[in-house]
Amino acid sequence: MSAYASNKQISDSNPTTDIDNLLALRKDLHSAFDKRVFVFVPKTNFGAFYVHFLARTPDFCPIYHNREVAALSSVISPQFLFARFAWAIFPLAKAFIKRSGIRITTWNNISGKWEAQQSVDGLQWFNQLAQGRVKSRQKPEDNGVDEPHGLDAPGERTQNIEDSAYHSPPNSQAPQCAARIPTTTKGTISPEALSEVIRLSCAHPTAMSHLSAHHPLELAAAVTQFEKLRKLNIAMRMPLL
Amino acid sequence: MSHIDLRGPVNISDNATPRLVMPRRRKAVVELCHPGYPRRPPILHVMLLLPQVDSNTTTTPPAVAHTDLNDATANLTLSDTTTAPTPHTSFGIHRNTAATACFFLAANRIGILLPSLLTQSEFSVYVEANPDAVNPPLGLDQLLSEPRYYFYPLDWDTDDTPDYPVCPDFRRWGFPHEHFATLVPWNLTGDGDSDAEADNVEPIVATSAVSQFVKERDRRCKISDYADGLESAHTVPKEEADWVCALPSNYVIIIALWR
Repeated sequence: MSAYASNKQISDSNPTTDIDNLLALRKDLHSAFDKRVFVFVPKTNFGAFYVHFLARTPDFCPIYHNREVAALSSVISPQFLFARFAWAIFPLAKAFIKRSGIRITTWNNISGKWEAQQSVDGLQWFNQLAQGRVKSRQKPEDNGVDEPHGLDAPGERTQNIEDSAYHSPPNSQAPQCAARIPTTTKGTISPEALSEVIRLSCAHPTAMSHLSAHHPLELAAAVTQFEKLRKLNIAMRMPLL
Repeated sequence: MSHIDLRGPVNISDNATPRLVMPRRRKAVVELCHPGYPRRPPILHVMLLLPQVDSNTTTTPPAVAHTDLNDATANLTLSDTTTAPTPHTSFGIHRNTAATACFFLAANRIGILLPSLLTQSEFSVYVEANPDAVNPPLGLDQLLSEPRYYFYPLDWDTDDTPDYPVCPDFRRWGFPHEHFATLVPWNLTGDGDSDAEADNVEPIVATSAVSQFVKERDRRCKISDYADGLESAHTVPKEEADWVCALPSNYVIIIALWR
């Protein structure tokens, strides 16, 4: 996604702080926007974006719904607006997931098929996410990749999957990326995982060229994911493999 | 004691902002459902509930009561049976917006919304018989006005499992890099003023100055056109920085539901 940002060389600390990802909104509308009250979607053949409300509010909705936003795509990447729409939609399906069973399915690159790994109860899955969120707040120092984080155990992915945006105030200035991936600052990257990254970097220098020292976040995220996947023996669905 | 209004005369009615007509029912929603669980109670089919916020207003022609010309009294009663054109407003949700929302949940599978619950074989027959249904027209007036619709991925056939996978949250969702250029109408949104874009070099803005830059660039609220109280708002939230950092399609975890 960071490929759609403008200031790739400057916004490494948080690639969302990019002029292609930011727009000016009045304070009250900004607050509603962060509460997923409305999104920007194209609705016609002309490529124009319109305000679409996902919740009926007494005033904003009757006044601003379906209002065309002039030249929005000239200042904001449509890809970011698309991702924003997805970000706003997923919580609305939480009730459907909660009352269902969840079957974690992974892509097996060798067989070319989706394979079921584990089945869990939907409510239990969300509860474990919530518990893990509390746990991770109480013990932030335990977020290193050396922990047995397993993608097959729902609660164990909480450092990555917890949706702090659901609860965090819109103006919080915490460096979230660094907070959730402390491996860079704490130096807890395991040698095995690091060697795996180096091996892949050597084998695929072009594809892995962006994993360099001045991209610590991507490096840390890659190491985390490589290690998790390696432990679980899950085939990675990477174009370079 | 007289009251002095220092603001001067204000006519509120003249300054009132136009408001859209919304459904009177508080819970006017469209249910977007999964067709893969026909044995479950219908209420459990519902994946998404979206409010009916879009509307179409049609004007019905004057209704003339059926009269028998042979009836001598017909002309006498004609004025009573002719009614003035009456606007009728139907509420719903924009079709493509709803389909895109289901596209996310179905783990990036393009599909269509139909008001009936169909099996896979029935859906295949429907698509063969209605090829135009695959590409519904665009426009603000394209509404889903029924209370319930089922989302059918276009590649949902008898070779597929009935309970197609559902992606449960944003951080397990992968951006469809390969398909974005073909997603209607999102593929039309990047056609800005190419000449102007060619002339404008993207400015390099320090992270600390991005917020101020955006306020000066936009000058006014993109929605309300207010210049007061401006803030810079993230489109992809800053809390999702690690999602943005993630390598494209490095792994995809899809979570499906039990049957």
